[in-house]
Amino acid sequence: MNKDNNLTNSEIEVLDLEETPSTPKKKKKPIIKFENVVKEYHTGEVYTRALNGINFTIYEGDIVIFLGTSGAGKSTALNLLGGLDQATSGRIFVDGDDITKYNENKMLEYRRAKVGYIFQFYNLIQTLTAKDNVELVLELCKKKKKSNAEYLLEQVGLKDRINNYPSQLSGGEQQRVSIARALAKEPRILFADEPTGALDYNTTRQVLELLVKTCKEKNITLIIVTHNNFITPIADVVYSFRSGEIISKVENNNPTPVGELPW
Amino acid sequence: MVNKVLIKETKNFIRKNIKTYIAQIIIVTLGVGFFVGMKISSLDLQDTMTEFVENNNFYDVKVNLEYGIEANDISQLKTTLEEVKYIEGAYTQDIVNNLDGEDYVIRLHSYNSKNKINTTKLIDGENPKNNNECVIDKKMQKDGYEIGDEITIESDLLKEKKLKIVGVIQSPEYLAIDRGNSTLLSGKINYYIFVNEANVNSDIYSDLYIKYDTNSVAFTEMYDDYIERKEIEATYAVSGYFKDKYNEIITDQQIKITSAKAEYEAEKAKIDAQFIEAENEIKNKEELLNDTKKNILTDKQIEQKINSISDSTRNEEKNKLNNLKKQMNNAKTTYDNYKKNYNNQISNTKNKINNNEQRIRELNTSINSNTAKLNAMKAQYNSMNDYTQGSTNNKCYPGFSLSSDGKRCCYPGGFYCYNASFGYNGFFGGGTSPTINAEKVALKAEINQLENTISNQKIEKASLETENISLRKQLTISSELSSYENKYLNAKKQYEEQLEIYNSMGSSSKLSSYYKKQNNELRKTVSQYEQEISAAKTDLNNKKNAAYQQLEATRLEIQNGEDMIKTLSYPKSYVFDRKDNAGYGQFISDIEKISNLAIVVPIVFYFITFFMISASINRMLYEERNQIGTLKAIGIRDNEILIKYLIYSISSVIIGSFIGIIVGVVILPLFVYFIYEMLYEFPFYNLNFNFRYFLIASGIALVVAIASTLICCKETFKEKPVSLLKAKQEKETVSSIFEKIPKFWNHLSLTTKISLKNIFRYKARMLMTIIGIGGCLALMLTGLSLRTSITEMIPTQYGKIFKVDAQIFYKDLSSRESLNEGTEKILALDNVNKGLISNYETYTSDYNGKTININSVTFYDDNFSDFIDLRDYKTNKKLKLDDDGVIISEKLATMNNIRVGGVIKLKDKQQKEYSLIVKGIAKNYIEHYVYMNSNYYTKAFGQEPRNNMLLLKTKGNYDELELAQKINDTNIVSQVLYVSIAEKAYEDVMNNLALLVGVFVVFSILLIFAVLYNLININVRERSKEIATYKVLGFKNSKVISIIKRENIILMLFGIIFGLIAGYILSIIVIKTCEVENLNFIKEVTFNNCIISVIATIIFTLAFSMLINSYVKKINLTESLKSNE
Repeated sequence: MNKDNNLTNSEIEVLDLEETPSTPKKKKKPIIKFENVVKEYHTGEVYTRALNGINFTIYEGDIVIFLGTSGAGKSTALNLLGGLDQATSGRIFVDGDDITKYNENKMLEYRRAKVGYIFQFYNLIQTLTAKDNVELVLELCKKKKKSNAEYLLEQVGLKDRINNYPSQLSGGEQQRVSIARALAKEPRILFADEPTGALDYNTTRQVLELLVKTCKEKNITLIIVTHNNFITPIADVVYSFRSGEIISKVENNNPTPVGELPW
Repeated sequence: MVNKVLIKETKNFIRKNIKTYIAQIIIVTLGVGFFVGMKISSLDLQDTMTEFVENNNFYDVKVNLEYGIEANDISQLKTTLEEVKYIEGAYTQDIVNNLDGEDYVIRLHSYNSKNKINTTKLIDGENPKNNNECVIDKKMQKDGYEIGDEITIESDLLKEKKLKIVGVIQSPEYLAIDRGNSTLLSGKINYYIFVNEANVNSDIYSDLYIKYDTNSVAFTEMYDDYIERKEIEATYAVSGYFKDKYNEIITDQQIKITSAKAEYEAEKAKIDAQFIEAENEIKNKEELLNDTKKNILTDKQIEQKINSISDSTRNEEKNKLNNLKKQMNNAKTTYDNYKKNYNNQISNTKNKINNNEQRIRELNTSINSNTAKLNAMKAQYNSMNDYTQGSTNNKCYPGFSLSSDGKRCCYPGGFYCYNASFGYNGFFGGGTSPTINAEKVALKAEINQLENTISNQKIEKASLETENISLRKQLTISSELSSYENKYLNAKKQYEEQLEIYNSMGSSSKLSSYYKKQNNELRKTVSQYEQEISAAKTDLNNKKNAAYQQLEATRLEIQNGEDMIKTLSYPKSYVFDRKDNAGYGQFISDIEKISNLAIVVPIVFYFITFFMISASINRMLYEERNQIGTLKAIGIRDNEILIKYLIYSISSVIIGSFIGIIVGVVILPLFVYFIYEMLYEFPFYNLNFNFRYFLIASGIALVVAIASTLICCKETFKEKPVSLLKAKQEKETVSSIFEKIPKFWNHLSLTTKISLKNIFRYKARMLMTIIGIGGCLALMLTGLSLRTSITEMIPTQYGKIFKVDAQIFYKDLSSRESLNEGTEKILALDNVNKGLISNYETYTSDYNGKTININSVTFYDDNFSDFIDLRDYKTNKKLKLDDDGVIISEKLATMNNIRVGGVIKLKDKQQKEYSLIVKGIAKNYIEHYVYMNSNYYTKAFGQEPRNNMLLLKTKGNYDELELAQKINDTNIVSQVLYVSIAEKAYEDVMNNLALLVGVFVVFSILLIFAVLYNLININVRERSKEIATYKVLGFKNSKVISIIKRENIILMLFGIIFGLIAGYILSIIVIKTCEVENLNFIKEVTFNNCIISVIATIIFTLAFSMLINSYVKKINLTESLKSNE
């Protein structure tokens, strides 16, 4: 790795984007697969290629980090994965289904059932309490409702704040509500777009700990988009993006627990 | 599946946007309220009148007959008509009646409690039962006549003319306060009065009313069609019936005439016969005259006669003479003898009379002395006691006196008596009892005797007097004596005459003089006869003339009868339906107007509502983009997210509708009633809750709300979640028109350029603001224009067009001199400036099946412009009258599509139609007028216009009543109408109409507030990030405010331009819609009103812009600047 902690070209050549034989193989099921995905934006006459034909596979239960600077395309990839946007070309498989072929309704179902989001700016409903924000989601999946909002918020350590409005919560607390909300659905995949971008170190640590712990417990695939490569060790796989392309993939056989990072 | 939490969120959402929410409710309330209100008002009014006319069986068809109709005619007519429910006759008469010194036109009606058609509604008091009772209308009651008042109705139709007011009623024939027209006086009926039918001394009804057995309801097309058919049937039936009757009458009349003619001839013959006798008499006398004349001897004849006297003739005459002498002597002897006897008798009688008289005198004296003696004796007798006193023992107690029989003592007055033997001294008896007074008894006998004597004397006297009377009668000359005397004298005369003849026979001169004397006698006789004959002839002629004159009168009558038959036409009958009733017809057109207003105005309201809701929703969507994106990301369906906004819109509409209903069902209709009470008499107030209109109004509002919400949402929801999560993509800057004009552009300051650029970038926002502000200005301008139009009408009409101060109607005078004299007096009065004699008539015209009233004024020369200023309705140039046509008022022309050169058709009271050529159209605002000069009048109507009106201009200060009184005192005037009073009456009406319009103006102002509030809210909050950025960059609050306000001002200016144009168009449309039939609203949008609405808009906009100030100052920078980029 070079100074920027980016993989050098030679290292890229070495790396195989498939499983490396040196790592003892765990029995992992591929859950997500990107095939030659391209995303273009038009604003008037200006074309922007956010993704330039990327390919990767993500396995169930993994913690994956999409790394890159602003404008690299990582958020774009996340958005496509999350069904928030549609690819210009290429195929995206989630649990065996090509979601690029989904119409609006199916996309909605996908978003509802399979994925959960955590945003950089929390995106809580300002006019609802923390509890209501979580209940909102619980109502969506009545069949799956095994836990209730209070429990979920307790899980994220907000037992005393369940009746507060987002404006009355700190950034970290809001993000935790957001997590509770995302987890309430018991999704297969959890997306987090710069989840700690607006938080301080300590809170970042807490939030990350929570995320990792919960996902590992429930075997949820977690994909984090960040530009902060300080936290990359916690992931199982790290994809680096630059100018719309994946320039490296790093696998961690032994991901570092969050608390053990040099905060 | 609705997410409960989202519903909860909706509540919070509404709370967060409560001000916009309320503004929206207000807008919906206004729109729904006004629409429902106006529609229901017209329905309520219609309902009220329908109920009234149906309850009171307002006639379906009315027949007015030239010569009236009788009861048996009616029952016969009924058999020729079908489906008749009721058919009744009634008496109607228009009279001019003087009440308290002023003349009024009163229409009399007959009241019969058994009548079923046109029954009257009793408002106060009771219906007339007796002939000296009557009931009055509300108008008369308002003018001060009360139940219990006595009025005198000078109508030859009534038996009893002095009537007591016993009640106040309302008749379905008079829905409007304007009681309709008459041929009398000024042509307007002042009051109507009902009298007892029994008080009418005629058997001939003047009107016939029919009510049909039909299910069709008034005011509907079905009813109109039905009645049209029935009118035709009635017309034929009535005219057919009267044709037959007419023929009967003609035949009868002819028979009468024939027999009358025969009688005439017989009479004439009789008269002629009568006079033949007299004529014969005259003829006889003439013959006698001629004979006598013949006997007059001419000198020659006398000569002949003298010569013809012979001896034998003489002897004859002599013998005659001797005989006559004998006769004479005999007669004398008889007479003398008789006379002698008679004279003896007379002297005997005279003696007797004298003796009797002597004796009578003696008796008188004796009677007198005896009477005096008798009186003295009687007096004495009375003073004597019946009894002599007896002993002194028989005294009575003091205070008591002895009774006349001396036996008792009595207290004066006879109250108590006691036996005198218990006398004073002889209480226990004693004393001698009284004895009868013998003197008294003797005196009585003397009295009696004397009385007898007197009586006998009187009897004797009486008989002597009687005898004398009859004796005196005998003294008068006996008729027998005089008849003997006459005989003697006649005989003497005859003898003397004969003697004369005989003597004269001796000499020819004597004879000649005798004959001449005879001639004279004969001549005297002749002249006497001549006199008698001429007198007789004169007498005969006079008698003849008199007799013939009688006959002549009869002859003329027959002639007239024949002429009448020749000229008699079938009695005309006129068939009317309800629409021909002035009040009813006018009412129908008025409720149409209200109903039309109900459609036009709410359209604008709904339009604005659509825009406002769209703007609000757009803003809210913009503010919640992030949230929407999040929810979509979470997996919540579009519909579920959308529901929040739908609930917001729909709930505001529902609440607004409900409040609007209260306004529309109760407040507005009552207000409209209040306004129309100036024109109509409502017997009660019907307030309907009409579900249909409520549904329509709120339905439309709901559709508008849902549509605008969905349209706005669709735009947003189309976007992918990812773009929603980011800020809205700004469109490219499009260069505006202004930038393409470098000269203009370069002069502007930077901030202005920014403002302009901003405006044109956000086209939708720009459009909404312009339409919002413009629309409200348009509404306000419309309201003001309508209001000005209504209120300016009166001063313009009565100040600029009618320059007259008073309208005076002349009595129906036959003498031109008295009219001129009286007019001179009026013009000489102190406060009178000038006057113009003219003619005034009222006519009707048909318009769309309704009857409209037209005033006609005829001038005698061109100098009328000081009194009535006629100007062309387009060019405002003065109009002149010529001999070839008329000038008509503006509305009349536009209603009937008549242009100069066209024809206007008028009908008079007898329904005769006249076509007049239109030579000019004059500006006019109130009622309809036709003006012409007397030459054209004569051409058109075939007779000279009568001078029945004097237009007056006054000067100085004066008391109206006093001046009217002075004018009345000239005795040529029947009515004085002050223009100021008519003006005031209309002013009241107009003020009420203006109130209705005021409601509209208030509505539009409220709407403006709601709209402006919303707009500014939206504009500012949509740009929260922009504003926050300015502030963060370091712009002062005032600078930021000025940037935004500049934009608003520019938008406001555009809005004003748009508003003025839209307002102008809308004003004209609304004014035309609101107009009632007989008024011509001023269709101008005045400069003043434009200025007012512009200034008001500017003020309101600037006032609401203050909101911007507070918003900018209070904006939460961090919140606004947060975004997901």
